[in-house]
Amino acid sequence: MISTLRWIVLVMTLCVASFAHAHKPSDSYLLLTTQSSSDDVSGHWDIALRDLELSVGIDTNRDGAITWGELRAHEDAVFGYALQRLALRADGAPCAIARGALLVDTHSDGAYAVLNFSAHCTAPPRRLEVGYHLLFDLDPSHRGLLGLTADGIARSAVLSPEQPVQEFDLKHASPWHQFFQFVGDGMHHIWIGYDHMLFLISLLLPAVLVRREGRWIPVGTLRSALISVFAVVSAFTVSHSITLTLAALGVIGLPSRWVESGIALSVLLAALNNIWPQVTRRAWLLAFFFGLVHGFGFASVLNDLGLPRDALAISLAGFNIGVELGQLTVVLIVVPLIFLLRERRFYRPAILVGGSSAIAVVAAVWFLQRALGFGLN
Amino acid sequence: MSLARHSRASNGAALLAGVIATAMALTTGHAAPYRPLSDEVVLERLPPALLALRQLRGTATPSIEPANLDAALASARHYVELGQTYSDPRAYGYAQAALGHWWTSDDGATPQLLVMRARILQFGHRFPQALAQLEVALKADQFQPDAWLLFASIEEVEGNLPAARAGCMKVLPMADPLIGATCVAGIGALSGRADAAEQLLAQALARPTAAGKAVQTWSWTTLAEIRARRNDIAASEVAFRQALTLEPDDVYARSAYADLLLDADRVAEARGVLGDAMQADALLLRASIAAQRNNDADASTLRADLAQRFSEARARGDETHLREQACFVLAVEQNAARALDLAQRNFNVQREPADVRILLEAALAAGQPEAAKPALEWMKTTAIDSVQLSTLAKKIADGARG
Repeated sequence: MISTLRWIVLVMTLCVASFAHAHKPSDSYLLLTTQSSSDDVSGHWDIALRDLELSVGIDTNRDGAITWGELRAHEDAVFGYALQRLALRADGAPCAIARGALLVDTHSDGAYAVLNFSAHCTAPPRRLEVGYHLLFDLDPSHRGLLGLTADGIARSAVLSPEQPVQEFDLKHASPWHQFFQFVGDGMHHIWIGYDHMLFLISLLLPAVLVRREGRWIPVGTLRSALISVFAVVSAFTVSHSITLTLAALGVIGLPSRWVESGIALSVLLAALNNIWPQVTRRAWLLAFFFGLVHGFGFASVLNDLGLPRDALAISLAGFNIGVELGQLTVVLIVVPLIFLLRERRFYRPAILVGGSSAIAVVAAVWFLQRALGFGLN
Repeated sequence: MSLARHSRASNGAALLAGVIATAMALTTGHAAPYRPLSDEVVLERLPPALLALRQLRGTATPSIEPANLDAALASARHYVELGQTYSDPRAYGYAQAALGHWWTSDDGATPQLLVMRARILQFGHRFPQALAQLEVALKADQFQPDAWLLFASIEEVEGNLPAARAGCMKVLPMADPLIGATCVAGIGALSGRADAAEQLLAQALARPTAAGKAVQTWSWTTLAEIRARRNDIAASEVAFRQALTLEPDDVYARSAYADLLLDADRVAEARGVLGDAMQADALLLRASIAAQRNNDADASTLRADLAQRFSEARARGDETHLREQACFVLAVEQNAARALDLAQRNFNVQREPADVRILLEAALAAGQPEAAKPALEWMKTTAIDSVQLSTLAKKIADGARG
């Protein structure tokens, strides 16, 4: 899933990158992630399109411009070429590598293909050996920059023709490491998940106002503002925790398209409610109801991260606490700001109505994309 | 201008593991991977260097062990020429691959092979290793003007001016007169003979020459730099324009010209010289400095882009950008202490006027005049003529006194 906002940000990065081809030597970025509880190693491998053009050949019409269509047309060849040149061994036994999605990313010197894959080992790796042989035959100055995260502990190495194989002793981390890893993931998800953030902000914006006789009036004291903030945030927390837990444990499951569309819809309705107020007294009800949908969204992220079977409760709790902490930082930044601005003449037209309108537009686009698949191929 | 114009950065030695704790940070530090919205989205327009490399790849096959040394050398030479034109590291990697087992094996090695290895090593700033290859090659056959020129350029970058001058003297009778004159004048101007050097070079350039465009560009840029150091801005500009008329894309000439304009506080003109195609870090660095000084709208983008390039270079253990990085940290990020550290490390590897200058500036900005000592000593031993360096040295001396 790609949200529009993230997409816009990416387009901007692309424009910058297009005039900024550094004269950088050839590098690839290989990120491997393992959990002590799992037989699988997940991988993301960023390989420069320029290197793929010289090795595999992807510019079909040879016009010097590589399109997504051209890269996609060579998806099999690219995965085949790269994965043949990577060997992972867990405690001496080879791991079978299965390809995942092909994506795109940019580094300072241009566009990279992102090869996602997962390697299935016969047992959770205690010693992981990485054998890397990409491009060394064509360009000995090529380097593979390897980042390995095992149970949340990061290590790195540079793979070169002189040292194409690296071995890692994966000391198993304490449950606390896993716990903090998931706390970090939870916070990260809030900060990069614009949909959750915009939902929260939409609910917070009217918290420094009170509705009397069809008009918004600034609240008098910080105390009354904090009461409504507390009610909204607690309701959101309780409800998304319920569904997050139920979905993570596999008790309930919903198709991700419904969930993602539902989240977009919740942002849209929360923003519209600020423009044409319907629910004004009990905003926490809104937070509670839609929080249920957001919980399913969090659960799908947690699933993508790979839940360790032996530390399910710890990682679930860690992730949830991370989400709450991430949410708390948003509250701590937004609430003082809007409280200070609440009596300004521009607060209602520009921030409450203007801001909510902008959020509503973004949310509407998300909803169309997610529910109807517009703009996605 | 430096003789080692095509050399990139520094001691490729520090290439290993612990160095790159930043690798993770860097891969998580930018936007997330995405799936483009349609097949028509252009992900990348291949830069000219890559198009040329692709074309060459069509005719040469470096991954297959070359049939004989001559074929290997011919193929490597093509890649190196391409690398020189575009200052592109990939091309040097392909050149190394083209040598096959001859990259390491001395079995049947000829002087030409040793010079080719030295050229590739020099590009990676592995100066001592490159000089070792050249020494053997020149002992076996001293009638190799290219090898002597390479030798002189490496010695010059390392700051060994007497050795560099000796190299140029060997070049003089064997090469095109313009090449010899530029070599000798370039070193002479660094050793207290700027007057004579300028005259010699201006006269050589006034005569008809059979030398190619690349050589002429190099000569004009060298002349421009000699004049710039003497603060003869108008005459320096004339020479820079000559250079850029011959080779409009020349990275070195453009960045040196931009430096002159930035020194003269003609920031907008400097941006004009740099243009939009900032493939090389050297160009992007000047653009970033100019944008910052001018409060241009793209200042923060340029700054972020350059910072990312440096962190990616660090992740692979590449220290060939220390000079540029020191300039960036001092002029754009305005962190004098860190800039001084970088400038000092850079000065251990290369000692050209630009390296001397950034060390003086960083020491001055950081309020550590004693850190400038090696640079001041270098100025004294070489007796270099440079208004900019002398002004900085005077400021440091004044500061120390006051």
